[in-house]
This record gives sequence, structure tokens and C-alpha cells, in this order.
Amino acid sequence: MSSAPNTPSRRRFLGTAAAAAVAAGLPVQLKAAGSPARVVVIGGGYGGATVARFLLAADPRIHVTLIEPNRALYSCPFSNAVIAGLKPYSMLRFGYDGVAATGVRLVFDKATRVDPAAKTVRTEGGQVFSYDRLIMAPGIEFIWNAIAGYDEAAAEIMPHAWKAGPQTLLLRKQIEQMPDDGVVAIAPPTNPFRCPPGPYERASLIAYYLKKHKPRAKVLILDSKESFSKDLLFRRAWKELYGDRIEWHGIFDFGPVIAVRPKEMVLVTEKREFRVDVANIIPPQRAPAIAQDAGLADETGWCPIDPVTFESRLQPGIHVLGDASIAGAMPKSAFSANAQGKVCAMQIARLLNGEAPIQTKLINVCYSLVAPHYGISVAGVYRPGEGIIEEVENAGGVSPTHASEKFRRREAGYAESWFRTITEQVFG
Amino acid sequence: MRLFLLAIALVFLPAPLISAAQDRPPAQTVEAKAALLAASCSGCHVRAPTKDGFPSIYGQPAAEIRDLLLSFRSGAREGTVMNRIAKGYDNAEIELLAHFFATQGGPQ
Repeated sequence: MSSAPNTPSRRRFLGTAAAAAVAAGLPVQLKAAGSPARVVVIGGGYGGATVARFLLAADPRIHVTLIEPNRALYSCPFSNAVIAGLKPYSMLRFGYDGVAATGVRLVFDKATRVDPAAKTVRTEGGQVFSYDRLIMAPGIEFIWNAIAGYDEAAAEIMPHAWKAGPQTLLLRKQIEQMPDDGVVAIAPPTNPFRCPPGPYERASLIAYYLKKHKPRAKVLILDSKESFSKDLLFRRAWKELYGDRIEWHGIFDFGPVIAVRPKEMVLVTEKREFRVDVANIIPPQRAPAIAQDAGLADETGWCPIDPVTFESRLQPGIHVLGDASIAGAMPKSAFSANAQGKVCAMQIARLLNGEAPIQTKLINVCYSLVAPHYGISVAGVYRPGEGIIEEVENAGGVSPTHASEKFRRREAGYAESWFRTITEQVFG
Repeated sequence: MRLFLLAIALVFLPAPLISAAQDRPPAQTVEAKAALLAASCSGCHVRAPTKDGFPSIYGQPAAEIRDLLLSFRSGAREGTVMNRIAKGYDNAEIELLAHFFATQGGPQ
């Protein structure tokens, strides 16, 4: 393992010279042995990048290493706007220079094996990292062939675009090139999955594009559920803004999509087949192999955690946050991952300093754009309950069913503000 | 001077660094509790807000922040999302949050 970590200026991150001076001057008592604690973070998405830099904010003496395969993140939030041609692809791209400048050691490599007993992480490039605490924020992996015929090769014809990047561009291109009276099908999975309102925001913005450019085309949603996030709000807005352009079918209409034939552009449900022009299949998901192989996932495919510290219930010394975790009532969202990252960082800093973690509350807010100036939101406040994160009762909820155009416009503006805020905080 | 620097440490460095004292002063735990509660808020609220963005909550007087949160919670003040969020916090938590943001200073 390499010796001295990067020590670029932490003053920049701490914000004032005074604070930095204070940090330097206070007695160091991080571990009994006297050497700084090492924390390794796997995954540089909204969760991992957040927890890595906020660990240093909580305690600059910790050595933080972030292992991430890609040199830049393409943001899933706002990728629907790119798919609909409303925003440029470049807006989604975030490099890691900002994270590195805080003092986090970036390792651009893929973590391939965690050994919880030896407390090591091995990478594809042959590196080995030892840790005192490990944080996994690896996101999701798709369960290929859960829908018969939908494997990685099929995703090049029927994109999921549920990890942003080339898939985002592929889906965008397909929508641009489809016939003027064509059908875009979207097949959302059952709960839990990454970004519950995402497929419906996608349908909305695609419909916005179609209304302008291919007014005879339609969006067909073949859902595997009987309801979805903010559904009353979405469906009312769809009628108001797009007429019959979006056709949603719940599971009781035709059954879920159980198979695909990509070469024929056919989706198969229990009751009938659909031949479509663009097929956006969002397959079932689970925690990625790096988490499964380390024994962090349970039979649901996701990772159970302590609701206060995010420490794994199955492997002590390893914390899991973001989409891969079972965060109880918190949805799998970027906002959740970021909030969890900040809280988890502070709790781990306390643990490394021999202090008890503190029960707290977390927030999630998911904004969705039904149209560029029509925003809706769902919010929740959460706290640790009986071994799992629960929603605080009589709080949270969705935007009002009846609201003025001004209200919807404000929420659309806040959606854009949120994106600026969070990406600046995490990657800036 | 040391006390002043210490106060800054409690504000900017949420997790206590001093572990020399056997009996941790309650103030540090209170600050840590406030920082944890406040962590989610910075998902939307920044130090230097833009015209159409979320309002700044940093460096505002604690009494103002408290009153805003209480009036969002009761519905006396209409927000878009803040009414739903404020309902998730009790009076003690609102007090902690108000004092935390009040000490955070203005835009950087």
C-alpha cells in the first residue's frame, strides 16, 4: 500500500484560516495507537463523494481514500431533461478535482474484492488498501435476464438509461430518430428501485418533446406496479399538459413486461405483445457484486444497516449508504445518498474519536419536472426507528394536488436550484 | 482568544476534536447534535444563494430562523416544500437548528 496520502490544502475546504489553524493546534487523539485512522470509500457517486469529503470536514486527521472506476460522474438527476433534449449532456458531467482538493485520495480503479476479516480492499488494477473502517456506496447493479431476453447486449438496443452516460445519449438519439407517429415504451420495475419518480419524470419530459416535435407520437408506460410515486400529481398534470399522449398501464391491465425481443422491438406482457419504436426498459436492481460478495446483502439483494450509523448489520466495520443500502423509508435518491453521506461521515468521525453516535433526523426531497416550468416534489423527514429508518409521522408528503401555475413554476425553479446546490457541494 | 478559536472549531468542525477531557462538556454534544440535524438542510440551502434559489439560512438571527420554521410548521407561512419538512421537527430540534444556522455566518 502506498505510504503518505495526498495532503493538498485543507484550508480551502475548511473555509477560513482560523478554522484550519484551530484544527492544526488541537490535541490529536484519534486512535489509541496514535496513528490516523484510515477510511476507504468505495464508489464516487452522490453518496460516496459526499461521505468522503465530509469525513475530512468532520475530522481532517482521518486518511480518506475514495475508489471509483470512472474519471467523471454523469449525473442521473437531470438526465431526463437531457433525454428530452431540454438540457445539454455536458451539464451532467462532474469530475473529481474538487473532491481531491479537499484531501481525499482519489484512486481511479475498480474495487473487486473486500475481505472483511483482513480489512482490505483489492482492485482490478492490483492495488490493495487496508482500512480501519470501510464505507460502501456502490450504487446499483441490474438483474440481467430477470426480464427474459433483457441482458447487457439488449440494453444497447433497448436502453435503460438508469445509469447516466452513454445510455443517456443512446436513448436521446433514439427518441430524436423515431417516426413521427411512433411509440416510446417505458417499463418501470417493482419497488424498491433507484429513483421512484424517475420513470414518470422521464415520460413527462419525453411527452413535452413529442408534443413539440412529433405530435402524433405517444408514450406507453407498462408498469409492474399498481401505483407510483406522486402518481396523482403526475397523472393530473399529464392530462392537463399532454392530453392522451402518455398512456400508463398498471400491473393489472396487461401484467408486467416479462420478456423482450430486442431485434423485433417487441415487449411481451402476460396478456399481449407490444411492438414499439423506442423501448426504455428499467430492469429490477440490487446491490452490486462488490457488496454481495462481501456478505453485505440479505435475501432482498440490498444491504441492511444500522439506522443511526449506517454500519452493516452483517459485517461490522463496514458502512453502506445510498442506493445499495436498505435505508428503510428513505427512497433510493441522490438527495438521500447525500444526506446519508453527511450524517454517516459525522457519526464515523465520532466513532473514530471514541464517542457515541447521536440519533438524528434526515430529509429527502425529490423534485420532478413534469414540464420545464411545472415542478412537483415529494418530501420526507426520517429518523431511526426499531432497527430501521422510519418516516416521521405527520410530516413530509407531496406537492398540493391543486396549486397555482406560480407554485408549479417555483418548484421547477427549485428543482434546478437543488441540482446546482448539490452538485456544487458534492463535486465543487 | 483560545475560547474564540474553540467556538469556531465547534461551528466549522461538527465532530468534537478534543478528547483530552474525561468529562465531555455538554456544549460539544449539543453542537454535534445540531450539526447532524442540520446536515440534511444543506442539500438545498447554500451559503450564497442566487436570485431564484432557496433562501439563505446562514447567519440569520436565531430568533428569525426559529420563527420561520415554526410558522412553516403551523402553516401560518406558505412555502412550497418547507411546510412538509418543518412538520418533521419538534420545538427542541427547531431551537437547535436555529442556533446552529445563526452561528454559521453569511455567504463566503
